[in-house]
Amino acid sequence: MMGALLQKEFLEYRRDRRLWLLGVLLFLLLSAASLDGWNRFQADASARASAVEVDRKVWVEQGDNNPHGAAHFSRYAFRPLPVLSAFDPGVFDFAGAAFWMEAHTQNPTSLRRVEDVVVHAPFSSLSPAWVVLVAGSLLVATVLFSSVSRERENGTLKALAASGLSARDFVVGKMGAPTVLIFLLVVLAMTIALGPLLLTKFNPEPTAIRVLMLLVLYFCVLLSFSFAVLWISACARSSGEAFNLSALLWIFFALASPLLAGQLATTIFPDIDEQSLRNEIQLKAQTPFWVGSAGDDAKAAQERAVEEEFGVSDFDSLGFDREALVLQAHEEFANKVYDELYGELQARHRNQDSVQRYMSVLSPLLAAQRISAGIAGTDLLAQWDFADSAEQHRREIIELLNRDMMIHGADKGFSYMADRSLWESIPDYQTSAPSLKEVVRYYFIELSAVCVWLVVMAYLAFRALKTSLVRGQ
Amino acid sequence: MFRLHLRRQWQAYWSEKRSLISLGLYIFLALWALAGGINWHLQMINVVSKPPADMITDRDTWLADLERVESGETVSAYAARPMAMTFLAVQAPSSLASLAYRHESIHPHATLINGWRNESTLFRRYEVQGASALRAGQLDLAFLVTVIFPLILIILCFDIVTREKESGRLRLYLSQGGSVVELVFARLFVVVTPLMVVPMLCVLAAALAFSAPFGHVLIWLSAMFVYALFWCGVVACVALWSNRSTSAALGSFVVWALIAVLLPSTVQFSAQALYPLPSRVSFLSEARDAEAATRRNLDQRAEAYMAEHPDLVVSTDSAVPAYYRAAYLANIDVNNHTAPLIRAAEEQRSSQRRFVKAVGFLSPALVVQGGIEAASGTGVMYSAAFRRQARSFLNHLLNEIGPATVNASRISSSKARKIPEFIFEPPRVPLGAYFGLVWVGCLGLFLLIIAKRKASHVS
Repeated sequence: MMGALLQKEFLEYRRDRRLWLLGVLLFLLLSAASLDGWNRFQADASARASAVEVDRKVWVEQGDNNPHGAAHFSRYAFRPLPVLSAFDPGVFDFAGAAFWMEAHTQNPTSLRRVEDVVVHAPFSSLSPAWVVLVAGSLLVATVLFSSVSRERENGTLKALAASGLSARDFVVGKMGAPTVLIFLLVVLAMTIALGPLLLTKFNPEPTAIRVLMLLVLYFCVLLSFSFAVLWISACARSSGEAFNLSALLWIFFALASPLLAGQLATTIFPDIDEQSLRNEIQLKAQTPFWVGSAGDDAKAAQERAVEEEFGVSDFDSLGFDREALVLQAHEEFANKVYDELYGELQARHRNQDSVQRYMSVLSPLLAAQRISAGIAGTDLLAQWDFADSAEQHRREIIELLNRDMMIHGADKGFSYMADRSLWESIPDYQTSAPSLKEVVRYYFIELSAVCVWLVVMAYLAFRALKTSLVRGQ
Repeated sequence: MFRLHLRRQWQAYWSEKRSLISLGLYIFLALWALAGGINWHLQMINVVSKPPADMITDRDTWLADLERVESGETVSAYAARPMAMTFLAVQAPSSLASLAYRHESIHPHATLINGWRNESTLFRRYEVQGASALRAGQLDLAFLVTVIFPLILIILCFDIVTREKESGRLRLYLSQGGSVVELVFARLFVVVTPLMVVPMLCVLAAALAFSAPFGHVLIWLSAMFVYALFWCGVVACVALWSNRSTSAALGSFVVWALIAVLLPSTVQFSAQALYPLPSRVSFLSEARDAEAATRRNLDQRAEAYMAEHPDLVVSTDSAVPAYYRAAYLANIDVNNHTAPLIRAAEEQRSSQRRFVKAVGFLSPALVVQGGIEAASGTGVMYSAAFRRQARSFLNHLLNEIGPATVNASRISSSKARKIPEFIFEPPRVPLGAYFGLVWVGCLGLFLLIIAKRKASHVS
């Protein structure tokens, strides 16, 4: 009997023109988004590789130069581009892809792709991840909202109850059919979206695990949404009401919750305006050191540190360049200010992200959107990791340059010229994306929310389906 | 008879839980959007009205130093150098910007322009917003009107006819000589009126608060009106062509999802995919390469510059730091070297705009959003104009200060005074931008006429 019911459900899916229409639309959108995603990835990866190469070449071949002059020109760190950014660009389009490691100043990351957009759509631009989640859930809502309510309206529910169909068979049939449908949908969608991955060079091991995690994530989320729609369908008085409630649920989960989460985040933790940050940098990290006497302690501390390192009691006895010592003292002085200013900025961004995290408990689709970006390596965690590691690298290379000038630039100061050997000794920027373990730890609440939604919705759908068959209405 | 319908629908509207909840939510969102917009506007005014702390030398001090030099007084070798002549470029928010500021945080609104800058470093340190909040965007009145307004209209009107059909009241009503046309139009009128009045009041409040020109307010209100007309047409058609409430709801909802969600995203995506812009990272690489090349061959480059300006006399003022000249030459070389990339990017942007203009007609949401942004003085067109004008001002300034900087001298105070302050000229919005609104209005009228004809045949 259960097999017959499953067969009937599949027959209805096959005959449902809405499913075919939306399926074709989903296929077209997904194919286009997927192709574009991979094109973008290839172009960005190639531009990044070329930029890294040019940066190194320009740096090493700068000729004889004063180390501090070189520190002002300095180098750039470019954000690594994970291969799954083609599937889910996450927040990468909205965050800087490069970091200027110049002397004296910590900069925010720059070069945001979103600034190139000539028209802003009300919602995100199409990416394969967005299409699977938003258009996929729309398809699920449209196909399943009348799954039980129509049986009730047509009187077939009573007939099924009268035929001796057990509640278990009915529930398994009604919930099993969408499970198979969603499994096929996710596998097909992921094959289209990630197909081009097979044609690119990538490190297969970690990416394969991430792909598998994405597959499981999207399956679980769409399944929990389909159970929610089934529950609505079983509880609603009519198909019209079932549709209204399913549509409202979709609107809240897929469209409104990301917007409300963002709005709430910036209302509770408003962004610092760009000029305030620039002013603070100028007034706390630059002017007091160079104009006032606030840097005296930093200079004395730097001098003591050098004396200790070289085992002397008087810096001048070393014959080192004092200008370079002052430059490094400023770095140490300013770095504390940057830790405070950028720490506050990042804390604000973390708080904004936390608001979105707790909002995602209310919407499995929002939770999935966040986890998906985390698995793809295109979330805020990856962005912060890039900005932090690039800043650490900036501090290291500026210190190396100042140290070289201090030791070798005695009596010459800013007219001291270093050569290629110094430029070659400066390490290149390298970083690795956050591991899956870190991602899982960071998105623990979102992952838990998805699991809880799945279990709760499955339970509610199970109860509602059982009750509706027993009552025959 | 129509008045009777209006009265009946009006009473039904204020007694329906569905209507009251929807309207309450709508008013709440409108007030939230307005409050957020006004807050953002005031913050922007605060930002652009104060000179930034890193503008170390203001113009008056710089000119005073220059006049002291000209009168023979001794000043520091660094004082009144052309490289330090700094201008503040700001894009102040226009009077209705608070109504459509959703994506404004993405773009810079202020920068300092002087000889130390080139096109790749003109806008710096403005990318401080949280990326995930930026991705979500802000809830502004433009979003409320283009996305939420039609949704609430659909929720409240999708079953105007089918509800009457399914309950059997329609047959009775028609047998008593009632008209479906009046039924449909009375319901639409009653539902649309409060949905229009709420944003209209918000627009008027913002207009009064920031003294907006009447023309801009009129365009805003017209955009809302034609958009409402269009959605009334859609809802009426779907309601009249549907036999059941379910199919009416499904039809209206799918049209909304297509027009307000999927089509705009698809148009934006297609424009980017068909006319990709040169990568910003590549632009930076070109700029760095050019700067490094100039710095490596500084003497030859300076000689070449002097050869291009045979009227210059080589100065012997050794007190002038050599890095002034180096930085200046590097900056003009960066600008020359990256000019083809900027041109290519501008061409691609134009192609994208043309594409959006051509296919944007498919989505009235995009057309109305464009019209609203143009009336509000926000959107990509304004931020692109600001960047373009700042770049052009920088190049003009570099040309003016070039000979004196390379020659290690100063420009005269009369010449310095002739360089005007940067004033942002809002781009002239072509009439074609508003033609889209006429199109949406015509489409709305057309749909309403079709709906009226269909309604008059319902029996």
